[in-house]
Amino acid sequence: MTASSIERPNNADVQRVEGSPRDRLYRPDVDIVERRDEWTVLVDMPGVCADAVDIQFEKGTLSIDGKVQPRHPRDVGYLVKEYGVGDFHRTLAVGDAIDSSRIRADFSEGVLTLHLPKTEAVKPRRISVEAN
Amino acid sequence: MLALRLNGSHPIHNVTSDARRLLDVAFEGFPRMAFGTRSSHAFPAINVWEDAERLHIEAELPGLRLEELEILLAGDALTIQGERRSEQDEEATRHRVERMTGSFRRVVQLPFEVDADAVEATLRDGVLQLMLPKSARVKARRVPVKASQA
Repeated sequence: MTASSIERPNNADVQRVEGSPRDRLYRPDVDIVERRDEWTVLVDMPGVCADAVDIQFEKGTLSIDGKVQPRHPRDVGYLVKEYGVGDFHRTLAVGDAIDSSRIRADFSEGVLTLHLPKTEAVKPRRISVEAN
Repeated sequence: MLALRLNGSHPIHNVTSDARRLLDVAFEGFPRMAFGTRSSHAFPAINVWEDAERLHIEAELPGLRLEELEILLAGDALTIQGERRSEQDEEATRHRVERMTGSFRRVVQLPFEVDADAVEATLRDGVLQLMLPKSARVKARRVPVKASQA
């Protein structure tokens, strides 16, 4: 898998859903880190609790959803409003070099950590050189 | 209209020294409070609103625990500061970095006096919520107006 195959952003990441601002989907910030054996994806989803995270992996696409419980009073008059509160959604193109049966996910303090193990075929190998 | 939230371009505010700290007010079970600077691209982003009794300040700080945050109150300046660590891994290659890491400091000027001894902070699932009760003086300033019955 090349780097670009996992990090390509998807234009469908941010969708405007008809209705109030609370119905909007927000695009969470992600870090994508490659290690020898796996790709690690960190996703910031503040306000989401662990059982409200949904991760789907299908046809090389990882789809991440986090439901956020409304936490502000309705019709509140903000003195400062720098971010919206709503559900998170993001898709990442992952390619086929991931062993999807071994994907693991942890979630704590509003951060999702996904471990995507590489398939054996794409792991780097050390080639030993024999001296004659 | 795009529903984009602050993306990964927040400048990181380095806390150069503690010299600017004017006041450390220690609360029981609550982080300390001090003074600093304000930036237009500050991290964390905040939402602020009020109700009759309190001022509410909310900030998104995913990955942080309450003990890793310092919240300081000096006069009308509320400071939220801390550090979000990045994983130090020599073997790792970062292909995409959108999440802010490093030291941050955000100073919020409060619109009115609050009761500093009764401030409450909670941090749950990466969302910091501060509830700052209005001081008795501020509350007394509100004059209730009743509609007179003709």
